[in-house]
Amino acid sequence: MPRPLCPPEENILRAIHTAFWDTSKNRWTSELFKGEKVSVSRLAILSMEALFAIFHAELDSPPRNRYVVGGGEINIGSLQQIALNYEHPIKLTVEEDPIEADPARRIEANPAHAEIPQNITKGLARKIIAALIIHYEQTDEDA
Amino acid sequence: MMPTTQLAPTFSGGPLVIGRRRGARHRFAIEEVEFSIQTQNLSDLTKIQSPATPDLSNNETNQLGDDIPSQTAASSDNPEEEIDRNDVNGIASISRQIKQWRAPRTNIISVRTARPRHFRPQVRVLSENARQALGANGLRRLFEFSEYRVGWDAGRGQPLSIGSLSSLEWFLDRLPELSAIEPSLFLTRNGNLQLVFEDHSGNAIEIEFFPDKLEYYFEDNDEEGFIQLSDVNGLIDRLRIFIA
Repeated sequence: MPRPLCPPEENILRAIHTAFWDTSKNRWTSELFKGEKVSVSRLAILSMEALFAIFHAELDSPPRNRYVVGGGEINIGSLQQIALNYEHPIKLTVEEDPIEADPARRIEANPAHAEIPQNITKGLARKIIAALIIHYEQTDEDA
Repeated sequence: MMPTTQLAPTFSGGPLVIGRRRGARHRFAIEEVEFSIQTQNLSDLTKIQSPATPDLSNNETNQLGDDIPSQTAASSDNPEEEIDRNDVNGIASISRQIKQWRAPRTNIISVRTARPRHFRPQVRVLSENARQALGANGLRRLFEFSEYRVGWDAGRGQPLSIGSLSSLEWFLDRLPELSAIEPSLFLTRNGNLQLVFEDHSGNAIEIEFFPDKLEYYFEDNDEEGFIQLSDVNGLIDRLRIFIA
């Protein structure tokens, strides 16, 4: 049964961790959006703070050899337009994919979870990354 | 979990040490460990066939694997500690054998495995060219990636492929000019290493290292594709122009 599509008016957030962002050189890898079934979360369902808490629980790896450093926000309509305007056009969709908690697999419940099912190439991924609004989490150290 | 000390990479004197475990059980290895590789099985090693690396598909490798004590200890809440408690003799054995292979330069031992119950240590050493090209930041990230376990990206993500590491080294040995650019190192979800850097115009270049091929992307003309390692000379010549 096909999953419901998220409307183009919504904004989504993609977790960014240190495997995909070299903070010391400020360089990104297209891996952040490359491939099939890219995981995103819907800001219409959960707040950014709640999503960051989920991202940390799922992705941080003590003793901080991998950790979430931010989130990349993009409007679904904009995402789709970038893909359609790309040299090799593709129609992207964002499908609802809420996740139930599975403590045994260290998976947090995320009712805002969604996926982009289509295969995204390196080139298109970099175009999408360039359009992201990056949110850096405010930490105690920053305050 | 057993306490781990991570040290900043240093090039000053002696072997490069970018990480070590605290405690007497591993003290013997501290002077020799450069980094450890986390991988799932020995079969990756048999894929490595390049002038820059030894043919590891021979009996020495098999013998190396056979010398490792199997992990038959009772289950534990901490599988890493289980390995630590049991593999000391095995590591010492590996150390002796590696020195026979690649003396006097070799000074690396792997002490990690992604699947403790099927303990298959992997060994690898980076050439001087590769180290220089990656720089301290790249080596630090490489060490971090070597610690990633299956499912490291929210349930997806394979551990670092030693075949990919070998391809990377092979490539860096042929393009030492990259050291001037200080490329960034990344790990992809399928366990491959990837370099990202810019050409002289600031356009991104990505090279992903599979065990037997490369996947490249040039932002300059939005070109991407695959190339077999055996055909990589043309790509290297092109990169020399891009980064000159």
